[in-house]
Amino acid sequence: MIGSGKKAKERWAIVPALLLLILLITDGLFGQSQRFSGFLQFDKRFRVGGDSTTIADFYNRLRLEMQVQPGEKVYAFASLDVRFYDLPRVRSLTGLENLNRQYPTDLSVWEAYIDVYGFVLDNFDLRIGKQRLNWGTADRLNPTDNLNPDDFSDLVNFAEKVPTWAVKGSYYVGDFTLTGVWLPTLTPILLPHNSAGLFLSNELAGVKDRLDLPAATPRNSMFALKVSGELGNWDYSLSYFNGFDDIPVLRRMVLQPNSNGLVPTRLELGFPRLQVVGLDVATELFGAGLWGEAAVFLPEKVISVTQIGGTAYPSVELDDRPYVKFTIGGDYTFPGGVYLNAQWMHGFFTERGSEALHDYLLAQLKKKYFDDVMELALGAGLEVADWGTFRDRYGYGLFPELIYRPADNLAMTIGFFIVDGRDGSLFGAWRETDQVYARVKLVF
Amino acid sequence: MKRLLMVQFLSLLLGWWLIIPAHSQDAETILSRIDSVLNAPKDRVMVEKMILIDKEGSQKIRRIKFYQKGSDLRLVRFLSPAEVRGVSFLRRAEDRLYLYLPAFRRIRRIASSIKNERFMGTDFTYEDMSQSEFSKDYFAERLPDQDGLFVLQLTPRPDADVSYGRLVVYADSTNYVYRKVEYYDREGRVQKELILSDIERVDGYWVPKTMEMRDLSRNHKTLLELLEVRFDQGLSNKFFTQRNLKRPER
Repeated sequence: MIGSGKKAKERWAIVPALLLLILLITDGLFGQSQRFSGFLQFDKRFRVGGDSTTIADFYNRLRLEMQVQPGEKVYAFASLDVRFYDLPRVRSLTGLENLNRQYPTDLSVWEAYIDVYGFVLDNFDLRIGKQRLNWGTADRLNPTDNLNPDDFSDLVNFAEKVPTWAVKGSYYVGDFTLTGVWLPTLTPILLPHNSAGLFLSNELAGVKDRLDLPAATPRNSMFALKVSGELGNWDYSLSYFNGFDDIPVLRRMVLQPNSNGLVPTRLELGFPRLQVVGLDVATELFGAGLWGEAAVFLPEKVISVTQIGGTAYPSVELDDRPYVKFTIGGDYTFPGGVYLNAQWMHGFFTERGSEALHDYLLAQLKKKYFDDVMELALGAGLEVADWGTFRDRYGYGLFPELIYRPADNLAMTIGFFIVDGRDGSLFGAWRETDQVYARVKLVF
Repeated sequence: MKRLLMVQFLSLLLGWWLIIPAHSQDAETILSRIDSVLNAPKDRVMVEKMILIDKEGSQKIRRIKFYQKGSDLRLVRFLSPAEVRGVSFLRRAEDRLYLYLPAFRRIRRIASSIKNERFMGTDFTYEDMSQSEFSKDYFAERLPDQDGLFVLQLTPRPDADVSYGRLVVYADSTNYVYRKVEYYDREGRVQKELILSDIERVDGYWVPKTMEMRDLSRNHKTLLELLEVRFDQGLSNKFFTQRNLKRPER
């Protein structure tokens, strides 16, 4: 415990040094061409989903960004993400000796990349480093967007992704863009703090587990290709991804008898191989924006083993039959400034296999008031596991949000994330995560 | 010889066009000349300061960089404040609008139903920001001149996708630079007023150094001050693409 405290102190000693180094290097080398920016965000989460209201162990955020453009053809961007929590993680007296346990903090390089424009060829751009790779034309619910891992660290923003290490090349020919991406390794999904059990069934939550990442070999590296262009009034892209699913799947479970019968005592999880062929389109009709995005998932078959005593029982954990996820949606701004965005998503990010895909109807209305000082957003969602047995397995969500902007660069938000549903629905499984959030964000 | 005669004839025609008495010109001709003056440069790059002033007089300041080629191609980048820095807007055609949001590293195609909305909190709508050829969307009717200014009433053409009921444009009768525009809604109420001032000639082109858009119903105004302008920079069509939209401003 004391050792881990020392490590944390050492880690923190690096931060000011790193920042100073960045300042010195950029100031010396690039003069006026560098820029610092970022944001500071305080976030309080009140969990209201259980029997009593509690304050969740949620993170505040400091993002420090640096941009450098030393020449016409080169650009570099790096950002440090500091997440600091309000609730202490002290379980013993010695924990009180440790500042990082009293004020837990996560530090990461969020993005760090170098752009080279017109690399070798005038029409070829290269981006190397940790980056966000946005694919698809749907509004955040993108089944073709499988290059970055899912970021579920904040369930309120469940469609977010984490930047990942990659090399991306884009070649532009007329109205076409050809994009190739190589990702050296898989980066798995980021789960909510203390809520990893949400993504396992109730009986498996809390069981000791082992997670096997794919071996870091060239053969296990991932790649993706995309062709995008314009056809009449349509924007389209065709894509192909060959890599791994970022959400682990059960490979082995050990059951042991106790007074309650057989109970799981150990889990082994791994990441199945995955190929995805995608198509997305976007256009405009009568002033409304319309989009559609579909992805054919070609998973690897996974046989899991249940071990009871000395006997192993194999079963199919993940079938290799292809399945299709899609999102269809549109948006429109009505006279008077009311903005409507509606989407139908077939297959949530965590769902796999054609039988397991649910339908989600999501809509949001937004309107700004008082010279844009106030913004009201009303979001709602309906989950349908099976249209034939709608009443048995549906879920719903309500996501209202009020944003107040008292000054430039400052936003204060209060919002609700309320989900519920029948057993067997995703929103039903998340019902304990109901929360009210209050957020203050200053951008600089 | 033939060629020389042709040149002389064209010169004569141009001279006649220039000295034609102002009062005898019809409304469509005047509007067409206003458009010609407005779109005289092949392309332009401008840095502008936008001051948003509410009814209490409190101000918000934005800086933008504006690129335009012809009447269709436009790219606007927000330089400040921090919360909108890097947000960029691309217009490739009337129904082909894109917005780049740097916080999400994402380009979104935006529906033209947004055209009546205020552009990033200013008193200019997306439609105002896109307007550069009045004669394409409006019929012109000449009203009596006022203080040496042509006064034209513009009503939408049947196929024009515009939200205003009519416009009244006031243009200088000596150089065809418009000085004021009144915007009326479909019910005939005046909604907004645009006043152009400090008009100077830069590199041979007439430029207003200050534009003020007043929203009369909200009692709110946006002052646009021209900080830098460069004409005929040789911007290619490739500049107005999604590739360039997401590139950071130097």
